[in-house]
Amino acid sequence: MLDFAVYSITIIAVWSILALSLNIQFGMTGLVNFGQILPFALGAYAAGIAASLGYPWWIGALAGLIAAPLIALLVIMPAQRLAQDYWALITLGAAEIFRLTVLNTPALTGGADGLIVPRIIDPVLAMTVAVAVLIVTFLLAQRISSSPYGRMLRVVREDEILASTLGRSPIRYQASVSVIAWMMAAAAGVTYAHITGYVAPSSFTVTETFIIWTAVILGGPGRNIGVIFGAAIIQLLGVSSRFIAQWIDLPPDLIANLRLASFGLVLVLMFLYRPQGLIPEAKQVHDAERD
Amino acid sequence: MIQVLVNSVVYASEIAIIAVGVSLCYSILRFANFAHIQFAVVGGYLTYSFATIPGLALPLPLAMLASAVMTGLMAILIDILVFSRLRNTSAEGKMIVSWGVALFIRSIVAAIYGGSARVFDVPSSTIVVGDAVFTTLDVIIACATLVLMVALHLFLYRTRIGSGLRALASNQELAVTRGIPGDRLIRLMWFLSGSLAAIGGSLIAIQTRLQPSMDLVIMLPIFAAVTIGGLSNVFGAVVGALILSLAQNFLIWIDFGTLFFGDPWHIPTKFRDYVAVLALVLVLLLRSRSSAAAAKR
Amino acid sequence: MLSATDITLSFGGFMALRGVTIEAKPGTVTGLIGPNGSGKSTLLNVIGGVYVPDSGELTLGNLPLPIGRPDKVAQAGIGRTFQVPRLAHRLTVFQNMLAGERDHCGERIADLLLRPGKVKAQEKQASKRATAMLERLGLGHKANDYAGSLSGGQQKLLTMGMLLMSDPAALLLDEPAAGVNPVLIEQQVALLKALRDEGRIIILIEHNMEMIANVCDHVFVLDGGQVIAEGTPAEIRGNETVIRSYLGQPANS
Repeated sequence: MLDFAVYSITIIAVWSILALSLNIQFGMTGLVNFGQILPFALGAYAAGIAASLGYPWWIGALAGLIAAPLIALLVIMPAQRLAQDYWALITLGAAEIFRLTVLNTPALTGGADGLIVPRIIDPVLAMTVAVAVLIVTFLLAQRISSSPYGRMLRVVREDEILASTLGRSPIRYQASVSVIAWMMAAAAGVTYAHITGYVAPSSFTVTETFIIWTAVILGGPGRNIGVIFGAAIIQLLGVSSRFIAQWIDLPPDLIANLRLASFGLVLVLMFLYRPQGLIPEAKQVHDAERD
Repeated sequence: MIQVLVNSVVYASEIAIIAVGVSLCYSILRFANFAHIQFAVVGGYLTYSFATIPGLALPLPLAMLASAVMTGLMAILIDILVFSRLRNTSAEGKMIVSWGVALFIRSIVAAIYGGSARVFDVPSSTIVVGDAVFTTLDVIIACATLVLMVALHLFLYRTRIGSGLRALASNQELAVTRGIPGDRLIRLMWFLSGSLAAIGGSLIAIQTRLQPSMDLVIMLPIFAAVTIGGLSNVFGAVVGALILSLAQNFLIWIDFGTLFFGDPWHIPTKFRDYVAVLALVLVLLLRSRSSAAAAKR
Repeated sequence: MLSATDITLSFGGFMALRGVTIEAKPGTVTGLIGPNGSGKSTLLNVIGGVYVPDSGELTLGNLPLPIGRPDKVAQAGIGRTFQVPRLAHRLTVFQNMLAGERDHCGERIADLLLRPGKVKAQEKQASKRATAMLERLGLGHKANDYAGSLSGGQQKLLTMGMLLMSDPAALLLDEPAAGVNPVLIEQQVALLKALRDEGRIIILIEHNMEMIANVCDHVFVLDGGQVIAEGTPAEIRGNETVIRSYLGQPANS
């Protein structure tokens, strides 16, 4: 039972980091990114490639954290000239380019078979690492959210032209928040690699991107604690459905598909009936007495 | 070289039938519907079921027809349940929801039918014309697409209902004030999209194989075709599919080595997939330069 | 002085502005009137950097204004409002006001992470000014309401407040009185006069002729993308050409 709890917390922590990274991009800034799995995979593969080349873990981590924002800038550059739905397609394309590249360079990336990464053997240590990265990410996300920077992100989300009329360049905010978001996701990727001990393209598909989306829409776009809550629910559903599969003796594939179907359903239902999420974005109340 | 052309036309046909549905939806409802790809998958599976379930075992053409009708109806149902309630949501919102719908449909299909691949038992003989080798099935696919595209064109440009759809696409508010029944036509659009996608999906499944993951295989080529042709340009999607297909096949076929270096060298076949993605990204970058600047006003 | 000289702009085949020249001096309110579609909002959008003109010059003081860059125009000291108020609907009134603060160091990541004290100090300063401005506009009691919940007239006042947060040298106002009740209009007039007396440049698009007569020192009349008349409100009221254009006949018939 304790093992289960430790494992759950570890997995929830990783997906929470991913949810936070999408939250600052979409929830606060309104950027529709369908390729959030790309920086996650970048981080994981940086860790994997560094390990396979014999470098210590922190080289891989550093490489991931540097590569991610560079790629982020590459992908965000078209955002200035493109409408949101076009940009969403580009992020999808970028993730796919990465996946194809991985499959086509087996010498470096292990191709479809993937890479082995040194694993943190002790589950409690793994959990601690994951939670530590989550805490750092959460603090950063909170700082952003309650700051003038976060305020302007939301203005950009509400009305880009308003932001420019107020003297800001919307693209600068979209670029900087994307860089931060990608770095967060890359950090999650590095952590994930060292926790599972294995990176392969099959862990980084479009489906995973949409699990992150479901967590954000469920939890509360724009609300950090909300999306962590969403990630927790989604992962708990996942973990418990695997239990149920063993219990009821239904084929695990069937359960997996039903679980994914329920995620899709959740995404749709939330959008229809409660688009603000389970824990909506907080109203920032100003107390005039305190000035 | 004829072989390349033949291959391109066949592949383009399969893509085009599905891609026009995306453009049709975008032109009227103004959002990129990712669930559309699933219509193709569902169509393929329904055709399979209609053709192989003991007791039902329809001949393939009839199975496809039944599948097309059912998928069209399913598309209408999805509009009624989901998209019709989101008419005032932003395009991004509808896009996100369409992914949720897609995830749901795909997973249910995989749950019902399982993940393993199935093959259609279709008799087909080989034809040789000059250097090119292809099958009767290829011919059927190309002809079917041609017929369907012509029919669609006639429908959109020579019938009153079709003109109504085009009016709706160009200016929805104006069309509705002129008495054009917006809701009913939107349902019709969904039926058309769904049934065309079903036929396209069936053809692809027949020619290659049927499995839930076929959605990932076709998604990017379809969106690339739609983007090349212009997201809301229905027949542009057909042109886009052709251009994409030709680009993919010619890039693999051209002997760059001999051209530049004297030794034969070809771009490895596995890079064919890159072409679709790169085409998508490039076209989006180049095309939207002027239109997005205008749109922001 | 703010001047737009010989501005020409066409959209596709349609000429929206043909060689329009206007100027506005500090400490004055300049009105821009004319029938619908005459190019008033278009001209404002050109000055504001939303549209790039085909030809012409824009200057503020003696310096050329950035063209086609709304953010740079705002940084140069020109603020504007829109016919349909642009606000962050899902932020509070107070948060919207704070968004108008010019050059907030709290929007720079480096300062945000490394100099929290500096950020807090500027936020406090901006909050004081925002509170004072909201009181002046009569919106103090709405400070913590969502901007989207305000009435149309209140939203217009809020957008004025937001633009005043950056202490602009020039204000471009697009139909501030449209759809606003007479009491609030009076409030706007008083505000505009006070701002004018502070030495700012104000350009005002309006259909409300009473407001124009009340508040403007100089008026330009546009029709069909051209300036057909200019002068004081009194001169304009009696101008034949202007009357004809409003009655629907082409200005040069």
